Amino acid sequence: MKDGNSDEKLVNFLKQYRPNVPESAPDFELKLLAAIDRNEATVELNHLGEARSIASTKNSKILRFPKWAFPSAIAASLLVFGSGYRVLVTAQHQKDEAAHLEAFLVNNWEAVLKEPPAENLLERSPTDLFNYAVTPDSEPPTN
Amino acid sequence: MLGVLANLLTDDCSDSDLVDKCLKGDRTSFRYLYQRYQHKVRSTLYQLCGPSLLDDLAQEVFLRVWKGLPKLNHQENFSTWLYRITWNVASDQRQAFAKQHSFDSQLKNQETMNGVILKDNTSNLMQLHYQDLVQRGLEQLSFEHRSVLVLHDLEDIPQKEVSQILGLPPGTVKSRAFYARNAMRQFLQKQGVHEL
Repeated sequence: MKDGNSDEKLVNFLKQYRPNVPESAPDFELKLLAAIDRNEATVELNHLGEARSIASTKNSKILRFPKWAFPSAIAASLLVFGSGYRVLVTAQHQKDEAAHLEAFLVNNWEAVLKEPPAENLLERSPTDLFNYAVTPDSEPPTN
Repeated sequence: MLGVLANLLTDDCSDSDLVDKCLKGDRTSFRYLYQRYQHKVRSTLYQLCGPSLLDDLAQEVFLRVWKGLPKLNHQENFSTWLYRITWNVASDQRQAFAKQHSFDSQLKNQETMNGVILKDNTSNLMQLHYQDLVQRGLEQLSFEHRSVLVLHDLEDIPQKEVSQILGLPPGTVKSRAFYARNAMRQFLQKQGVHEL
């Protein structure tokens, strides 16, 4: 174990005989500042390059938009047109069918109301049952 | 003259003030910070990594500092943060060295030292010899122990701050400092330095 005095002697010796540091090149400071300038310029160029690449990416995205959008848009519009037409035609058919049905029901109902009472039917001969009742406003049979 | 005046004016400015100005884009303030710390940075790098690529490493440190300034939360701890970056750069370089370190580089260092000896005839040979010993002593330490010895004993950074720089518990820093000093002392004594 060495004492503090011994350490101090050693440190003093090392300091006294530490090797002389070679002088820097005469233009070292200028070179350093130039290197800093170059570094700054590179950093700025990199920033500019990054900004440009971001802008070009955005532009290319905008330019690329029609390439994939047009076929999709055409397909979508065809689909919309087809399904719209289908809905329209079906609705029209349903309207016609409803009108037909309504007319049938009305006719049927009116025919029931105009039939003679049941007791009259009983008084008729069985063959009369197969004959239509002839009323003044009824049309004569066509055949 | 103007440079001296500028130094006098910036000596009053705290690191925090200079960092503030740097963040507003003031390059002159960054130059002042560089001038204030460049010797410490170079010295630390030199003792951790040796002479090769010293300018490149120092430039890397100050570049990282400039880039990292906006992320510095506690501006009053600028020097600790700066040493941390310095140590990171040295550590990265050490890993690169480990991959390509060869006997050639040692030879090159030795040649550099011989060149210095031959060039400077008036230098004290003993001084150069001891400097060489200290350099070799540092090199024979592991990077972890060398880091503690350089930052604490040579750069005079308190152990608490060293522990922040290296991201280690204070106890670990203390034990590494103890080990590093002992290893250094033994190396120097083996080389004939007995006054320690």
